[in-house]
Amino acid sequence: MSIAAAEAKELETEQASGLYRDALSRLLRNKAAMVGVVVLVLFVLAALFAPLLTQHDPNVRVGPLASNPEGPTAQHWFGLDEQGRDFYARVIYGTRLSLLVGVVSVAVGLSLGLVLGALAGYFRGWVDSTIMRAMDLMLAVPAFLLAIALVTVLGRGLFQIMIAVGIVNVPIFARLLRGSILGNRETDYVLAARSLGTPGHRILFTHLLPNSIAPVIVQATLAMATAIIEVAGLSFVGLGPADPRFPEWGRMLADNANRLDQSVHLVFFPGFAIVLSVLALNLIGDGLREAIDPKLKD
Amino acid sequence: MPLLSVDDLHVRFRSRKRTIYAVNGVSFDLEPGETLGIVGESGSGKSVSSLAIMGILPRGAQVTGSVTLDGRELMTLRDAQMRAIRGKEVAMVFQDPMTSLNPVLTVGRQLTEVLRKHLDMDRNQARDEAVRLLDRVGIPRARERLGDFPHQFSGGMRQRVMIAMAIACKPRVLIADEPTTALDVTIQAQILELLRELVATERMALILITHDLGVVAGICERTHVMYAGAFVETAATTELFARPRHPYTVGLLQSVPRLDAEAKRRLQPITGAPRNMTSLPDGCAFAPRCRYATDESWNNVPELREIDPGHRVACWNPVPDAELAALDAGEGGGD
Amino acid sequence: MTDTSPDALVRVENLRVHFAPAARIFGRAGNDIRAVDGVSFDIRRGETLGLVGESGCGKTTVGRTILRLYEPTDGRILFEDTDVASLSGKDMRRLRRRMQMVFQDPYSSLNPRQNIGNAIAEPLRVHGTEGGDVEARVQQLLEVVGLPADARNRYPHEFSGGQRQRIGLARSLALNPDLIVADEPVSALDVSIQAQIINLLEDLQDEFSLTYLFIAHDLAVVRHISDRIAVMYLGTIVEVAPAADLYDTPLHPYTKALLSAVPIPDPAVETTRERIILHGDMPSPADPPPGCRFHTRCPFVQPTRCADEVPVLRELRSGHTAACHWVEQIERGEITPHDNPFTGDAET
Repeated sequence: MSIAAAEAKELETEQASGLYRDALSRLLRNKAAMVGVVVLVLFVLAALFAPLLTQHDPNVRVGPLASNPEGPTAQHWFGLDEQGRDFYARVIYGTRLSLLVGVVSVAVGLSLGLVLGALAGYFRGWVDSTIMRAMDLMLAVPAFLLAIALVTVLGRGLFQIMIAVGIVNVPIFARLLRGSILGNRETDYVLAARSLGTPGHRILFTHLLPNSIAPVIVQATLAMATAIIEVAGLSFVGLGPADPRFPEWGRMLADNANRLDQSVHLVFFPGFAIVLSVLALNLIGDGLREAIDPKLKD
Repeated sequence: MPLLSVDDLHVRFRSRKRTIYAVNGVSFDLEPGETLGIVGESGSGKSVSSLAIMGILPRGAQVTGSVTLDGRELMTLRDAQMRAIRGKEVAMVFQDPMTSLNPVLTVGRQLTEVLRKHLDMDRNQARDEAVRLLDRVGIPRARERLGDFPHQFSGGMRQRVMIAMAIACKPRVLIADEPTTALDVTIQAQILELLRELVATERMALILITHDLGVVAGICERTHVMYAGAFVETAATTELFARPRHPYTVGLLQSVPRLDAEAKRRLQPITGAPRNMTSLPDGCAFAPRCRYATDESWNNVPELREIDPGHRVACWNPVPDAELAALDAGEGGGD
Repeated sequence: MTDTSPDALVRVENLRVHFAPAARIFGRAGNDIRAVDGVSFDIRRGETLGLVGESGCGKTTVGRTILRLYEPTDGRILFEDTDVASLSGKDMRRLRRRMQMVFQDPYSSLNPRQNIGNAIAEPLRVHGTEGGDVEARVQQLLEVVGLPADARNRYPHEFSGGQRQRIGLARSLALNPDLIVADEPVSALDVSIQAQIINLLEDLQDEFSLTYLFIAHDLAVVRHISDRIAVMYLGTIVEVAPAADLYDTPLHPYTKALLSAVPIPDPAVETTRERIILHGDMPSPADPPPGCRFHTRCPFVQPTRCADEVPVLRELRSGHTAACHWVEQIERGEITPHDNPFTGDAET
């Protein structure tokens, strides 16, 4: 017997079933994850209370049009952009869009992905094959290209973009849930439920889903991070949200990429915002993964 | 001088939430060529004790006490020195050969590795010796099987491979931790037969750790019964089974169904459950489950005391002879 | 064939359960795994029938197929004269009320995210019992298996192995079944707890007039609790007898070897008993030996019949059947244990 196994058996460690309370306490102890949470909370607050954080309107010109606009000053913390707008305000208001896209696209991906994954994992047979082949097709295309393709079909409205980015996530969630369900289908408690005469749908909802959902939750946080990057990327190639009223970090990057040597601030601040938000989400996602699937040593 | 001497061994596992007192004052001697049994259930500390002797406990473990091999203290040795002893002087066989053997290396490679490291053999010598070892433990077509991977062997065969690795350097002490628990009963008989034979021909001392009273009855000269991290009774095996004195030993013997017993004799289970070792008891650890417990049992920890020649018990109220006779009468069958 | 007593609750006739091997991308697919390959026996109402054998013998598969958790490949299973495999979904659900299962592993037989009150209540709810009645019944069941009432709201991981087995028992009793298939119910428990659960099983059987199919590999436990015992080897039954008879006079060579291999907690017995040590390993159920499946390891094997003729279960004493060509000669002492020339064939 391996040492860890011998120890676990001898010491009657609590079943590492990852119940929510245990998982939560493990998460709270994870310093990196907590940093991520704090940063994310700050971003959420920034999005919600943007008008309180800056008196400037992100779309109103307060300075001159310039090809090399001035950098940070006491009056304009992030300086001005090439259209003379307060850049700090634009970055802050940009938080709204990014977070919104993150949440909505993940919601879209989850709702479709969970359904497909559950159907595939539970019914198996031709249902499983068909769904998985479709998922494989989607996965065969690099995510970003798929997003581009969807946007060109659906259009550049904000909502359409969120759906496009969301759809890109569907095969990942579907596969994940399917795999998790397959792993749990042969457990004794599922067999027990069948022997009791429990109907299929009840087995799926009471027994399979609650025990299979954990890796999907982890993936959802990571998917939010990728969504933010993807929208930024779409903007960068000119396919981002068309409406100019909503500042978007990726488009800020795109618009100012050629000004790198003169007006670094125009690239630095939105870029940093993207990096920071994605990092925070990744830290949380990793923390969740560790919290839900702890190793036996303390 | 005894070959192996363990004195007042304590093992604690400290974690953020709690401390686990896995082993609480274990002492015993092992003479050369002797077969010793340690019987206990899960949580008794029997496996942890053997890991402590080998020095392979995980990092969070706090170990105190003394373990001497031929008079040489093992607890104070550095890693490199201990590694030279492990596998060469003292070897171990574990319960689950699937996880104790490296699945990505061939069996031949794992065997020759041990031989070359400890006995300084060259490649060909090691191969020949590996074949001889596999043959010795009863694996047919040994030379061909050198190139096979662990998963290509059955459970019983894998355990034989483990035993081959363990005896490769002719260790003076072999510790077998539940070596047959994961095996079918007919395979178990084969492996125990092999161990018996090896002990006789290789002049090896054996410490057999198990929860199965039948297994120790068939192979061990002396047996220690372990509960909650400490020995509660030690005696020559024949004496232990003929005149068990500790209520736990008696309870175990009465609660285990015997193949040769009169059928439909109701089992006498031990009430309660094995103790949770997150705290040290104020008195006897078995008191909550013991029908002979007195105030003294609850308040004072009993020490191992000699009750008959060679027979020691840690109990304030050992089971008297009269009771044993009554129990025997109820048991029936046997010889 | 075997006994066909009128008070049989379950009758298994020539059951075969074969599993297709895992698909392979390259190369031809392997043979079917013949987990159960022609098994017939009865379970009489009110008795405990022990089904014993080592890993790979098919006993768990038999138990699960009786409950139709696996589909039989061939043969019939009759529950009170109803063919289990022929029932429609709805009828099968109704039949399930009458036969239940207790599982081996107390750690995986309960849904970790379901509190045990709901776990025990589930069969009741699924089969139409209403709210208030459910509560009362759960309470009653917890009491019957010796668990405190407040256990209802707690989760499996808060209980020990022995307690979880009690929970599993409570769940299986919820619908008042006639038959309980207990698949290794005590194997994963500590020795000192096993006796508690065994006694509980016996008490429950008396109180609720249950019939047990007790599947296990531990002969001592099976001997203790069973009225009759059926011994399985590699997908077939090799011997059936009343428990005491099986121990006193085992007829099949495998049974003899099995009995001699079981450790007995008595040094006087252990050091003097005669052991029959089998050679070699269990052959693969995908590739069983021809003729008598046991012939490659049998210490009594003969040059004729064993390797090519499949022995049938035949009644040799009252209520005692065995599947071996040479039982009478072995009993008379004309054949004694010797080396087996076939053993090499079984090696992988």
